[in-house]
Amino acid sequence: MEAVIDGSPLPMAGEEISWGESLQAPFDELAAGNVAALEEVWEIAGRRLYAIALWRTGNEADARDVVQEVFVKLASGRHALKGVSSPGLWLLTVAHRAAIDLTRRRAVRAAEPLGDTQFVAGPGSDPHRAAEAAWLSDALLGLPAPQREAVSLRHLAGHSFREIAAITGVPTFTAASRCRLGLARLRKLLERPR
Amino acid sequence: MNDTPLRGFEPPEPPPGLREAALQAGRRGFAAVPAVRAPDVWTRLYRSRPARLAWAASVILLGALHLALPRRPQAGPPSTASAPRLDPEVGAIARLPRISEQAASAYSGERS
Repeated sequence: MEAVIDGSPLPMAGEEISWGESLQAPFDELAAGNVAALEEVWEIAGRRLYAIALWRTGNEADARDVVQEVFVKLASGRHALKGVSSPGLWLLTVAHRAAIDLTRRRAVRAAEPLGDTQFVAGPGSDPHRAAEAAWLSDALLGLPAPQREAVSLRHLAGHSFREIAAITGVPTFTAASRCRLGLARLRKLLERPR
Repeated sequence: MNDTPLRGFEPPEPPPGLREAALQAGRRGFAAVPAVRAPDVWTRLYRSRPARLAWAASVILLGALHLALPRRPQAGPPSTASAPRLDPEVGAIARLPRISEQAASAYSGERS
């Protein structure tokens, strides 16, 4: 059975990301009608969903909206969750599509100025690393959204090109190309004086 | 992959309050959809007692009609008497040319 959200089937890769298997149990519980399983989904995937939404939309307010929309879709489409074979990829794909939809709606409405967005976080509370993270975030803001998303999924979230391709719905070659071009552009942006 | 400027950094933490907002949105979505999804049209048709009765009645009626109606007499072989005569010109066109009339006669001679 193929999972369908909003009437459109979601393409699934033949493999699952490492943390995705742990989503199978809460997905089954949601399909069975247990609303408390949403919390478990958040614990496993909340940060990842927010990250992909932020990388794609480029600002925190939109990323918040995307994450909430994903949870609405997850709950309202719970009857289809039994047929999801790769929950992790599926969830990230839903977030990616919701982010694209939201970005399009925003583009139609008005071009909003981007705020001081933190695309990356430094481990721990080292102020030097925090400053580096802010500098990197500023550079990432200069990338086109597809490249920023691909680079971040690859080098921050640790996904393979195949997984990035499955999440973003593009051929693997395109995903790899976005990563390569994005990284080259990021290096150029980082060469600028601070 | 390790030589990138992003080495040692992590995805950002969700802002405070997003967890509750997302769970609240999920609960709203949960409540908006009924617990049991309405079956599709084919399932409803399959489960419908009147539809099943109508189907059974039509099968019985067809069977009864098949047995009750008199059979038509067997038709004989088609008569050639009424077949229109072939126009000789059309016949000449329709006749396939032989590669060799002699070969054909030799072949028929061998057979006889």
